[in-house]
Amino acid sequence: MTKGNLSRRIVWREWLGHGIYPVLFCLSLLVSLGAYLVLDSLQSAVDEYVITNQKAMVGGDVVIQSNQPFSDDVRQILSKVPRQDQVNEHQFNGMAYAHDASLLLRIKAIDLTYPLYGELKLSESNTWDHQLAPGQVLVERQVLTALNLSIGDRLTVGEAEFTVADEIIEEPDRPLTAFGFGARLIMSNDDLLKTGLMGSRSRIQYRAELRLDDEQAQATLNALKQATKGTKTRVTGDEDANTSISQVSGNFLQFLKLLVVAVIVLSGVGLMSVVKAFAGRQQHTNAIRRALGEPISQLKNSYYGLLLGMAVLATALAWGLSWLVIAFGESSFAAIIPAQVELTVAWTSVVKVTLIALGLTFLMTHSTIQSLNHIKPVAVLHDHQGSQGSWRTSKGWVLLATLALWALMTLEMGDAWMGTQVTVGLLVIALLFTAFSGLLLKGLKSLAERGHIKHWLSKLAVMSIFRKGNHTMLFFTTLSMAIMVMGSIVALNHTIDQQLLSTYPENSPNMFLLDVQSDQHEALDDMAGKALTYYPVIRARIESVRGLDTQTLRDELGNYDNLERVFNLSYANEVLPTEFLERGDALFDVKTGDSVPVSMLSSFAEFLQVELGDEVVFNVQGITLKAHVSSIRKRHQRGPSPFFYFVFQPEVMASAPQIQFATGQVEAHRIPDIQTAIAKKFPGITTLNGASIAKQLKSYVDQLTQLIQIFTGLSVLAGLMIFISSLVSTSQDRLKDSAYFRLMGMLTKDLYLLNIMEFIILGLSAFVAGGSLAWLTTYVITTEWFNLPFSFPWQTTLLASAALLGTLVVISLVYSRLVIQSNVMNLVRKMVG
Amino acid sequence: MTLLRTQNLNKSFPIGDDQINVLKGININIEAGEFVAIMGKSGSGKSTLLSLLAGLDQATSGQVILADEDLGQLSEEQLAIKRQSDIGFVFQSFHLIPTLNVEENIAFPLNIARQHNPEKVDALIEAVELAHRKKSFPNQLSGGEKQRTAIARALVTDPKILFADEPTGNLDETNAKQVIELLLNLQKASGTALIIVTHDPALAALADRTITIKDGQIS
Ligand SMILES: Nc1ncnc2c1ncn2[C@@H]1O[C@H](COP(=O)(O)OP(=O)(O)O)[C@@H](O)[C@H]1O
Ligand SMILES: [Mg+2]
Repeated sequence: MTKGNLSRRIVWREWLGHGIYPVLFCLSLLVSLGAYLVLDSLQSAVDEYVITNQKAMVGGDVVIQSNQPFSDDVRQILSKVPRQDQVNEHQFNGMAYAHDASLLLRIKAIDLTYPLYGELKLSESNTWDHQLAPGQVLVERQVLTALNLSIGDRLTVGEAEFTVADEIIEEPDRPLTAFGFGARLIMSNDDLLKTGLMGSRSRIQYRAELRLDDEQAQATLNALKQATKGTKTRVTGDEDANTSISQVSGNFLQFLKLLVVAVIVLSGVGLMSVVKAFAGRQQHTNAIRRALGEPISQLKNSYYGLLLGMAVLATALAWGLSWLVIAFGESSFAAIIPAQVELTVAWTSVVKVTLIALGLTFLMTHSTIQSLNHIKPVAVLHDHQGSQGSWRTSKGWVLLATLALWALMTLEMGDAWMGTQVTVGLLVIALLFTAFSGLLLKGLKSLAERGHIKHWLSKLAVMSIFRKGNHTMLFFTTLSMAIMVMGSIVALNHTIDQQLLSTYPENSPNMFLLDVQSDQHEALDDMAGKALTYYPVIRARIESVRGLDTQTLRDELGNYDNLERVFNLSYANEVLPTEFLERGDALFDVKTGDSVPVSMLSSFAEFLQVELGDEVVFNVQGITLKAHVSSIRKRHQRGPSPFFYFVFQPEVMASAPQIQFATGQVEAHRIPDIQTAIAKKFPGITTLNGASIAKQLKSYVDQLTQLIQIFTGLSVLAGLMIFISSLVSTSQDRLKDSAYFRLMGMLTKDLYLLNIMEFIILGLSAFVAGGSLAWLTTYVITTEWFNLPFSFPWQTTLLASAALLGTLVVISLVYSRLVIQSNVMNLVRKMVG
Repeated sequence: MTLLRTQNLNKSFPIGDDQINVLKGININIEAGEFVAIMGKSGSGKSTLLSLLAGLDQATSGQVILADEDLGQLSEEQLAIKRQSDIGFVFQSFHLIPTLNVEENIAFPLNIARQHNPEKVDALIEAVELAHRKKSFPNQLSGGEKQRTAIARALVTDPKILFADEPTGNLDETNAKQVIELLLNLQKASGTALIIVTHDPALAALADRTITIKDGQIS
């Protein structure tokens, strides 16, 4: 029985004997580690999927893609690759109809060699056998349901009728985003011309996928890159292919992960308070142990053993938690994780989390354990209790903690420089808060000293906050930091929500028609039952601005926009209803020499740094057009209504080769019928249903929002944990205070009031500090990074402050009751006796 | 043979910018196996003296020499080892470790010295008449039982010298008597030296010698 390590037994029994310590410790770690583990597992599941399915997802060893037909040089190179080792694809949007329903499609026309890697999974014949008879198409489920079809039925695409041969279950190289325009229909390249959709089409994506051995692949890649230099054609090998899965879910997961890292740091602070409270409690026992001759290293080791053991335990619990989350919450991740990706808790993640838990515990408890060095064995002879060790940190510790944070950030961001930036940012924030709480303490002190506070209880409360110096700092800093993290998340979320709402304001167009011809206007207006707005689009490149060529401009202005790209020019007689003239007396002035007037949009004019009268030279499909800026326009609001950087007079542009699109606002329920009618009469026109796109987008964003909310909830929990831990860690001091006041004859009612006032003063100032910093951060992020208007979350702020106030009152009441009723009288008796 | 001796021992405590001199030039000699009583008014510096003799604290000046070794020359850790092996201590307010039971409390000094001697522990439990209580925790014990546990704990490492600071100060008369009886019996049996601080003249009368402290000096 007396075998084994009694030192270890002492600390474990004491620790477990006071349920509050292990519970707080575990919860603090559990929440943050569990969240981390879930996200890390998701990340590695996605990475794993991308790695093992890389070739299938990319489609080939080399892929070339362009919005223009391939050049002769490119075709020359492609012709050297055997037919069976290449797939040519054409992708574009188009309308399909059957019976009285119509649907927007994303059509993919392929060679029958498709797919070179991976499998096209179908519903009836399982795996596609590379056969597609003339007039046969494959469609995804959505097409069948929307058009009310079954396999074998017929549907019309453009000018041709097709038979549905099978249903697509999984496409190997389809971008794995949950959100895309149009339902998939696959047809053979041989049937492409029948649809009549080629030719006038403006947005066809040309793509070729090649199967090559390594040597050939490198040579072909280089040759293609050489042949496409300076054009918008993208050539990728399977290595550097950026599949959209790793982009969308990768970015979002990383964003969530950074949130969770912030929560981990917060929970570290919680740990620190818990352990400090525990060590404070153990002072007497530690003094006895030292007096009996226990070496300091042995004493410290018993603590390290306990805490690291608890860290491992918490990790095990976190593992269980994350397993549950992944097993039962899989559907919540649908927005960011495609269904094909199989989810499990990854072992590498478990190892990572264990290391983080151990490192965090070691770092956060190190200074407390080191303070055991100062235990004086002689203290046992004198019954007075030493004050609890203050919140001391050594330079070495700060360095180590910074290094650990940097390592974690670098690991997460996958980039040392980014890691450095984030770490520095966090340190600045921590310093800010420390400075702020220092100021607060000073302010309180001078308030109390100058006698500005008349009410005696308030004065006492302020004095006692001030007297608790170090603890107030810790309490305040952690609480306000927790509030800041939560506040930032809430404010950011709110702004994004607002943005989304304002993207589709009530009176904005909800029907978009692409590829309209001038002679179709009247018929379309009839079908819509109202006049639609038509926008002509002429494609052109910029040759020079203010006499500078695009190359020079790029060096001078940076990469806000690619000046070498194709721009959409338009013409009109008057300012669009969604815009107004910012500068210039009229949209256009007069033609001077060979220079025609052009009206510019203010944001682009700012970027190009042009003034009224400055010269811009265009190349309109081979013809040079000299123009001078005659006016600068600005949009009333952002939204889906079209806008053009450059607008000319109709007489300048009307005869140039052009495409047109139209927008209109009609009752949402009429859109499907109008869509079908247009699809039947003008198969070349693509109709987008703005209302349903907005709805789709909204539900996608809602899923993301929900995820963000879950993780915000986690940080709220972490904040609460810190709040409770710091209460526990200061309870000894508070107890003593209350005993003194009691001894001096203070009424129980006033004792309660005093405690509550203290909490409220502290809590509210922490709320104001954390809240304003969160507000500031979000403001900077939304306006500077995202270029979005910032909107202040009044409702949430009010609700949150009410909730905080309520929580503070409840906790302080419960807490005071516990402290006052159970222990104060004992202490009073001790003081007197 | 001299076991413990002090030379011109001084101890002062800082009080703000000032300081109070609690011990002023103490010279004492204690022989191996000797039983010495220390008396003096409350606040005269008895506990402070004991803390210096037992290596719980360092003197401001002067020397404490235990078995030819100057305690002032030892590091904190070396002092801890000394307390572990050569010194036993019984405190007025017991100072048992609350999360260890009687048996474990007694075995604790052996345990921290990485020793294992269940026979010795059992023998001491018998000797302090706590065999029926050996699985009890301190909060389940009476004052007398607590102090008997503390005595067994102090003796478990066979120290050369045992210090007791008012060991009966928190006990009623009957318990006090029993504790003192036990303490003296065990001291005789083990041959350890015993330095005991007491206010009880009757107990002091049993000692080989009495040292009285007054105003920080031996009078
Ligand atoms: N750590 C200390 N700091 C300041 N004064 C102390 C300290 N320890 C003891 N004293 C003072 O030293 C004097 C002697 O104390 P002590 O040795 O405990 O007396 P005794 O045990 O004889 O009652 C007292 O006045 C006490 O206040
Ligand atoms: Mg004393």
